[in-house]
Amino acid sequence: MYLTKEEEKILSGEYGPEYQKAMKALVKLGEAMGAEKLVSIVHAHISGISYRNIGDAGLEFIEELSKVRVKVFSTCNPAGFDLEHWRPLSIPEDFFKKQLRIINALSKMGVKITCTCTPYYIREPSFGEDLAWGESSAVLYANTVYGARTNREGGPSSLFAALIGKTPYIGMHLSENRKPRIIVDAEVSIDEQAYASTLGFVIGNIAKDRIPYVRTKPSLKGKLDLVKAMCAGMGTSSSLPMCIIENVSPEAENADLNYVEEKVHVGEYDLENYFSKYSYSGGFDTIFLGCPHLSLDEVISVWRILSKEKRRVKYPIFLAVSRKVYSKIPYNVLEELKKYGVTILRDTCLVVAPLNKMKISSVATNSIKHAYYLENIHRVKVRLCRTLECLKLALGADF
Amino acid sequence: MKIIRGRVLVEGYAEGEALVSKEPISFLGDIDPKTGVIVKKDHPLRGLSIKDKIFVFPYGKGSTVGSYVIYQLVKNNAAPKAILNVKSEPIIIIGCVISEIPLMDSFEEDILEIIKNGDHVVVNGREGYIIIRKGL
Repeated sequence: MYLTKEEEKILSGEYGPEYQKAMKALVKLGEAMGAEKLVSIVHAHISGISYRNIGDAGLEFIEELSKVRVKVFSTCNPAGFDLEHWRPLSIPEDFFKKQLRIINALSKMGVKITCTCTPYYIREPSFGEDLAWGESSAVLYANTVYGARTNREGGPSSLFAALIGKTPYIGMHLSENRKPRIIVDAEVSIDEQAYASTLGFVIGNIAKDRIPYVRTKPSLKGKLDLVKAMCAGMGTSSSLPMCIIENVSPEAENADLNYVEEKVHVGEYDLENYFSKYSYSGGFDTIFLGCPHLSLDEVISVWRILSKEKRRVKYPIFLAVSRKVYSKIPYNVLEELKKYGVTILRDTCLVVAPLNKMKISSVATNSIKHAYYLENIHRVKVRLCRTLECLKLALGADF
Repeated sequence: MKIIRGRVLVEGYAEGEALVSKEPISFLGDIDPKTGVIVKKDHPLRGLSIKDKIFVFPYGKGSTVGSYVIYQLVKNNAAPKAILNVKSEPIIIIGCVISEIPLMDSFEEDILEIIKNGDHVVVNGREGYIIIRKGL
């Protein structure tokens, strides 16, 4: 791989062992992927910061690097709990302390403690911009919706990229690798998040590592909250860093379809399997909405539905948002939601939280990504259902 | 005995028994970081550990936290001796880089068809080939 003089210096350890370690790993990654050089990035998003998921090994790994600072604007993924509201969540002391050590290490490095899987709500990427993002759903969203360029960085590589301000120039950073290889025609009434996320999951299963060109009926134009849910589903079932959605992606109109090798149709039936797979019924410890973290519009629409009922829920609702979106929620909405039995979680979600300690073992959600990881990582009993059905369940309806 | 050439992504040498997953793997969620046991609900190899195995699967998928799960497996003494992929993606590559687990991909022949569970596999991740000896 070609390295500039400055990059060679970093590699030889002239700027200290931390930068050297980061550069060594990026060079190895670049060489493995066949990159010719490194490319400068404008924003690194660091995934893998929850103590629940990275453990002592990850904690020590991050702390060892924390003597030095990041070179570019850097944000981070959700942590194991709401940093300002953790006591009522029964977070154990030891978990709390170790999670804070991770946060402090990142903060010392100059990483913005955003703790969200929606870094595009923090800083919107521009078309063609090079990024180094971890968090599969955000990677898909950045490439698909903005036409920005990022690979699916693993947790450690997003941190290395932040420290160096560069990433291997390969994969999604090159136009020739952004061409669709499969066309997916989806005829599904995707009018809310559960169906959108499950459609994404199904497409990911079919497309595998081939970038799909997705045509939906009805169109997803302007429905970015649904595209967000779809990206999260796709990132769960596949290794895809991007898809191209007709009427949504800036790269859709001039997409080169010469490399398409297959054309598939997805209907309502293909999605129903997953709803029957995650069909737990019984009492719920919580109803969870917010994977990926909710937009302001999504919070408001939950409030609208609940404010029609004007009563307290039977099963507590968790809504997960970033700190930034939280700060935009009108005061009366926050107060009313609290009154109805809704807890708004910042900085976190259930997948990255210590659920066994929080005594959560049954959850209803509108996100297939949450359903998948809650079941596999946390052994939680899950029901996947439409947003409206989630809220009705919370209010005590039987299905 | 069979020799197949492939591409070295992370250098190293290992030998051991093969464990072959025909399905892609999300290290976060599919593998228990403490024990190396495959825990994914409907996985055909569910309940089996990847510890000390030559772990063979098509490619990585799912959460980008997967790299840290690979790293944790090493620290918890539950890591595979080597990983062989049809095609590796960045999450697996960086996980193996920081964990120093030999990693190879892009083989001349279909490793998912040729390597069977229990086969003895020598991974020469210096010269760029693997040797497969049929298990009993």
